[in-house]
Amino acid sequence: MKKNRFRFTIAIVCILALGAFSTAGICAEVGVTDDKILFGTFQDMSGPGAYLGKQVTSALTVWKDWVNDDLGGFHGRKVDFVVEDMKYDPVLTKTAFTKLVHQHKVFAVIMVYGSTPCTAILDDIKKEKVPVFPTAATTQNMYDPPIRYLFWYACSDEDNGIMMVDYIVNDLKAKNVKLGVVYQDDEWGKSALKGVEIGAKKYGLKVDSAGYKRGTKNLNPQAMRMKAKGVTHCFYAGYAPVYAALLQEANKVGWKPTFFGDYVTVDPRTFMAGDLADGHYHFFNLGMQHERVPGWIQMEKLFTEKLGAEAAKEPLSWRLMPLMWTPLLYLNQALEEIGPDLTREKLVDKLESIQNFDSGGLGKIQFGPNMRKGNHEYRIFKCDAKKQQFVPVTDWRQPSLK
Amino acid sequence: MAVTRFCIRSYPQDLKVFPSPAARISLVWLLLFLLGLPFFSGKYITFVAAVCGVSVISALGLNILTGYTGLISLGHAAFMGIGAYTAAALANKAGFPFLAALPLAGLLAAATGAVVGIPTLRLRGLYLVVTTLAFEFIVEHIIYHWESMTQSDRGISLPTPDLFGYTLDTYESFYYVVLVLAVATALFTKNLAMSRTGRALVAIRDRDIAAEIIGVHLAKYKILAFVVSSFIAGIAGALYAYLLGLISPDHFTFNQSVLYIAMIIVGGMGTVMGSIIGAVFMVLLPEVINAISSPIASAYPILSPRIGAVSVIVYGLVIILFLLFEPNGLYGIWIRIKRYWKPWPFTY
Amino acid sequence: MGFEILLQLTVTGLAWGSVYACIALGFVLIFKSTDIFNFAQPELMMLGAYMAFALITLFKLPFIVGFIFALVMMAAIAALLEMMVVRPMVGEPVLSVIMVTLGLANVLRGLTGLVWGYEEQQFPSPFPDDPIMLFGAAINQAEIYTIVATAMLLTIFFLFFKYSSSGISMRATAEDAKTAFLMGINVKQVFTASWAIAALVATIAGVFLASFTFLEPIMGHTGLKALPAMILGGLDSVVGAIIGGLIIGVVENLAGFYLEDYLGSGINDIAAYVIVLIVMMVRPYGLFGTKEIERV
Repeated sequence: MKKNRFRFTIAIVCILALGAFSTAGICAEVGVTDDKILFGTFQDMSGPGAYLGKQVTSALTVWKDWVNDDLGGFHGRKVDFVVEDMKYDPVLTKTAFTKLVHQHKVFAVIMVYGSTPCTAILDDIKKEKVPVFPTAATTQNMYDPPIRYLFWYACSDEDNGIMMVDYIVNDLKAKNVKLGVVYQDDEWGKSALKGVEIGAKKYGLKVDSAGYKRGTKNLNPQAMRMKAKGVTHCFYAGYAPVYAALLQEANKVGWKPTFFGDYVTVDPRTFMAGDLADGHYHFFNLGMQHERVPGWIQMEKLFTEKLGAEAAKEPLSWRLMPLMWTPLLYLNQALEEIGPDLTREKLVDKLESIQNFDSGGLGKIQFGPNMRKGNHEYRIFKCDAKKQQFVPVTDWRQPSLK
Repeated sequence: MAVTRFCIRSYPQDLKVFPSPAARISLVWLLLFLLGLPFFSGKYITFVAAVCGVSVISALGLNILTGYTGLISLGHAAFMGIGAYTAAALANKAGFPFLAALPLAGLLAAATGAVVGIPTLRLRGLYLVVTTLAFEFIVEHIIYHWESMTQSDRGISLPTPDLFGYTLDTYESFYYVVLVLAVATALFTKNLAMSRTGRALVAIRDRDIAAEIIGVHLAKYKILAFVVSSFIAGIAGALYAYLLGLISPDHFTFNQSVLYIAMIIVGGMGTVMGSIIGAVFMVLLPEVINAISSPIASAYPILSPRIGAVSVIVYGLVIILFLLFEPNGLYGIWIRIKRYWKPWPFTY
Repeated sequence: MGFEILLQLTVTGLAWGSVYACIALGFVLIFKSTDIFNFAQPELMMLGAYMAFALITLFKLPFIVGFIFALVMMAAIAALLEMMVVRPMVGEPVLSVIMVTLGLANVLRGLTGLVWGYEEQQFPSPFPDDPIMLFGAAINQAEIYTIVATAMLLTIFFLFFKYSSSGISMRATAEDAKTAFLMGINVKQVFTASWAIAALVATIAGVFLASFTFLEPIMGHTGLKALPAMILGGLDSVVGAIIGGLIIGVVENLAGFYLEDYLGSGINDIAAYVIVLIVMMVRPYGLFGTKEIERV
């Protein structure tokens, strides 16, 4: 029995020691000391979204080195960040968030994503009043109703769904249109369906849909359903490899519609379908590397410099990288403009008051009082499978309905 | 399969819940520690402790079904989900108070348990495993698609629970509720195991035909095991829902069911202590791995994608090594240590 | 039109069912001879596919050579795993052994993620993309090969268990390991062999699945579909596993097409489990499983 008590004491000591690893000093605002601002983030390092986790952490590393070494920090303070693994699991996200706020005592949470994980901490964000800038989750509850501390910057599939119908009717002027939606049947996919339905209603069209569960690989029933309904224009909301599988399945069963992929399909893995991907449309709210805009040139330079040419290849080949990088540029401007007296409230006020931010062609980002949706404008791209590129066919535009 | 209790000298002693004064004293120490935990640890540790508590309750429930009765179920998370969503729907849509929603959640889960229990009476072994797995997936599907009630993966939020006029709005206060219920469940399970019912369940596990011959009503006790186990799972699910404040279908998946089975096996099947140790171990293991890997990932972000994979490997390896070292689970290791020290300093 | 749709759905369903059948076959082979339910089977499938992928893309081997090398390597790996991890557990509680295979699944998944990364990759499929028309139903060449391979496997295993002495000793071990041991059968060898064969079958399933779709470390999740397949057929029946797999493949394809309007999207994913629930009510030992006769 003595032995057990001894083991137990050791266990307690271990737990206490873990608890004592808090890094914050004494200062006016949590996570801010005279020479450091500590940010936190939770990433999927080993779950189904580990690919994202890897890219985002490398972007954050580049950002940190850039700010500390080249920009000399903000008003004498260097930046640092801690990463918690959440394995795309809602409970682990909650513990990760609690840990960031109470144990690491971070100033703000930056660059997070995932509908289910982020939804799980909505209440905690309200309660703890920690700025979360930004989340790239694809659900509407991130910005509607607006939460003061939560900023959203991603692509809205609802906007894109409306834009698809606008584009088909007004630009393509297609006749005998039969709209369809193939979607991953979660909040993300459902928002796409909702968008297309809203758009279809405006123009008096009908929509057929086929959902599939996340993780499904056999899309034969979905393709057959769409074919049987005679769908001519189909929106797709889901991951790129599944999109490639859908293109192959559609080809197999002889269903030949025009596809409109959402922003996630703007991905090299779409080309897994080969020539079948050619000529279909994609919605995107970011600048492309091959457009050689100043923002991309700067990104290329910094990533190659900080990570090394070899290690920079993979993050730079990720077309969504500006989605992570633009908010960091925006955050830089906010931190610079706030001045030496940095608090969470001031950060939130500053983030919503910056106007006409210049991202160097990477994308439009704009918040406002009570406006937590950071993105309103998109372009439509056409897929060129031979060059493995997405070429813009429209200028920046907004959906015709709100 | 059960680990024999050692240092027991007589039948009356065997029937006691706490076999020796030493056991009682160490339990008092443990209880004092658990009561004081929120005072000297941070919010994060209290939260993790509360998650541990909920898992302990749920694992104890599964232990009755799988550990004692030998009916292996991969549908445990589904019962928790039913409990959680009942509580959420009652509290969110009908405004039920915490004290009413909690038992109702347990009761609905128990009723489902009875419904599942009856048709599975004829099934044994892996047939039962996969049938409960089918139940798990079907419940998952219903939770996901019954949007008007569950709000699908937007998640359904629960109001802050009230207890006798106190608002349990911090992790610390809710931790005590979980603690009380966990202790109560442990005592109940321990007593159940020593009652006639408990012995009947164990007899069914060891040899069901033999049990039937000596007069154990198989159908009755199997269904009883299902009902009690799913009642406890329902309560645990409801507590989980209140603790998190917002639940979505992702909380009650097949992986969770496997996790609960893992808890009772790693801890030691068919023992109360084993379920408790196993639940705490399986909840803390990823947390500990994260606690070690996160600083490394922060310091060397280039390594971080590798660290994710390494922690999955470590997680698997720990389970394998523990079981290779002691196939009876953590409780077996505990017993082995005790046995080693008992005759000390003599070799025999 | 109606008939063509039905035919198309059935043919594609059969192809997917063949993949499920191959995975289920791996489960059954190990269960039949060792009484262990191997949770790591889907991970063996994934590892097999990655192994073939690495050999083909990294060492620039032709598909068929890479595939055969992958088969050999996977058999060796599975045999090693059996000797190192599973054999020390012989005689211990079955549930503990099952738990060990679950831990093994984690280790294999983590290793794959470590070596190949978590992002999806395109598998260098040797089969042309253009479908072949068969009575008005389109079918991919990869799918044809899957169906053919499954049929061959079924015949080979049927003959193996019926006539070869190794097959007979495996059946004997499954019946009663102790007696088989006393009769001079090398039980250890039988256990190792069953793991090796299960890994072979898993690799075949993995390569075909990856050819239909793509590679990712979580492709093991598709392997879960093999569970209803094997239960449906009956746990200890090789024929049952294959027929179970085919039924599940066809049923989920049909359900996905015809029932989505009534039961919501994702119905194709649970159709398999609904079938299992119904069959278990009627036949508690599956369609082809043998009823155990119990004696006290």
